[in-house]
Amino acid sequence: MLDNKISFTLNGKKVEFIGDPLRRLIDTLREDFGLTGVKEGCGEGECGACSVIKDGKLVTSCIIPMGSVAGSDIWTIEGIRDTELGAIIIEAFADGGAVQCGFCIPGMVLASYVLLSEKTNPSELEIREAISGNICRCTGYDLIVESIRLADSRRRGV
Amino acid sequence: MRDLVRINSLKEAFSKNGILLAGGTEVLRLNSPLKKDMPLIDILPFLSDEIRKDGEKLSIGSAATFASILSCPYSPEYLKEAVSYMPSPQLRNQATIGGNIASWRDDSYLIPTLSASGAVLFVLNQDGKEERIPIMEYCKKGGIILSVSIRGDEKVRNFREGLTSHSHAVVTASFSSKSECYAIKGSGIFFSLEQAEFCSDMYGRAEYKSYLASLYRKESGRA
Ligand SMILES: Cc1cc2nc3c(=O)[nH]c(=O)nc-3n(C[C@H](O)[C@H](O)[C@H](O)COP(=O)(O)OP(=O)(O)OC[C@H]3O[C@@H](n4cnc5c(N)ncnc54)[C@H](O)[C@@H]3O)c2cc1C
Ligand code: FES
Ligand code: FES
Repeated sequence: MLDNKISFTLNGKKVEFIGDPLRRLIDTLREDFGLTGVKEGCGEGECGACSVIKDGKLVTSCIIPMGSVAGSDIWTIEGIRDTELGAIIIEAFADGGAVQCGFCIPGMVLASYVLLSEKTNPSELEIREAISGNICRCTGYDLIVESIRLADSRRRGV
Repeated sequence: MRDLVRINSLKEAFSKNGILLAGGTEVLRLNSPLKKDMPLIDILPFLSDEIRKDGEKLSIGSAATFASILSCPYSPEYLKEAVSYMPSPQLRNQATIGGNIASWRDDSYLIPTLSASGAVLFVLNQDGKEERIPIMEYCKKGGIILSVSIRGDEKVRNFREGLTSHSHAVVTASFSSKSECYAIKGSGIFFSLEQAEFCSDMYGRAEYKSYLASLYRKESGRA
């Protein structure tokens, strides 16, 4: 039996996908839904550029088949940027000089979003662990870590 | 085009000529060596991800992810350490313990520590029967892994050498008072140093790998 009709929630809206259940989630998001904030770096689960949030957890959409997305709650950068926490993180990344070429940044913002949703005042080690699945070729990470700290301070009002 | 096959029971998986799909982190990555032209059989809905403690014994459902093993209060430290060898939180959220064992990789994160701890697998075999086998027999017998049983009080020491946290390991080795296990890049999995084979490749010379394996055994106190 083959399933080719898959319903899921995308950035808070119910959506339906009809097609190959082995199509990669990244392709569906970018090509069918136009969510090009999801980037493809390596295509094999290594770099984290394609990260999205699936049922509250950070996953790499380049190795997720649509067949395993049925009933899931998926968030991409396009949905997260309109949330209160998402907007704070994005602004902190801009103010903190965390962005160079920008290719890794959607994934970094989503990793930060998951971390800051779960933890208040995370330590440097916790921040570095949270973004350890996201590779950045430009920044050397320090300004990204600082910007996540800045986002945490701002959302706590300190 | 590759098909995704849904089944009504695990036994049915044996009658389909395909590759089993659990977390998909090995099966679906771009350079996976697993045959691209074979259909995938979705077994995840039939597998348990429960981690159950019974005295000092721990039973881990084969669908338990690396992340859930890491966050489980019952997981012994030696297993948490090996689970952390998988460096990416994203992959840890997807990859399952069953998929890792079945992949039987020469840089396996978990087989050395599970084997040294005396892990026993609960497996559904090709004849449709459930049986318990020591993990070291899995590569010969195969089957669908249902759960992994370990002792939480076993003392296991793990060693792993890779160029960076994201690199494939050259040697991964684990030791307990009863047994040892080595994953040697380029050669495979071995259950004693005497049987281990070493080859020279882009990860290092055979002598280097052999030196690391001997050093780890010495440091573990088993030499
Ligand atoms: C970037 C990257 C780097 C990696 N590096 C390593 C590494 O260094 N070391 C390492 O060990 N792994 C590595 N992996 C591979 C993989 O992530 C892990 O081995 C993972 O644990 C596989 O689990 P899964 O649930 O994703 O398996 P899947 O990808 O779903 O399946 C893997 C294999 O196991 C079979 N299988 C799955 N579940 C079962 C079951 N219950 N019973 C029987 N067969 C089953 C499948 O048929 C398939 O052949 C890497 C993966 C990526 C993407
Ligand atoms: S593109 Fe998915 S992890 Fe690199
Ligand atoms: S800013 Fe260029 S890869 Fe991170």
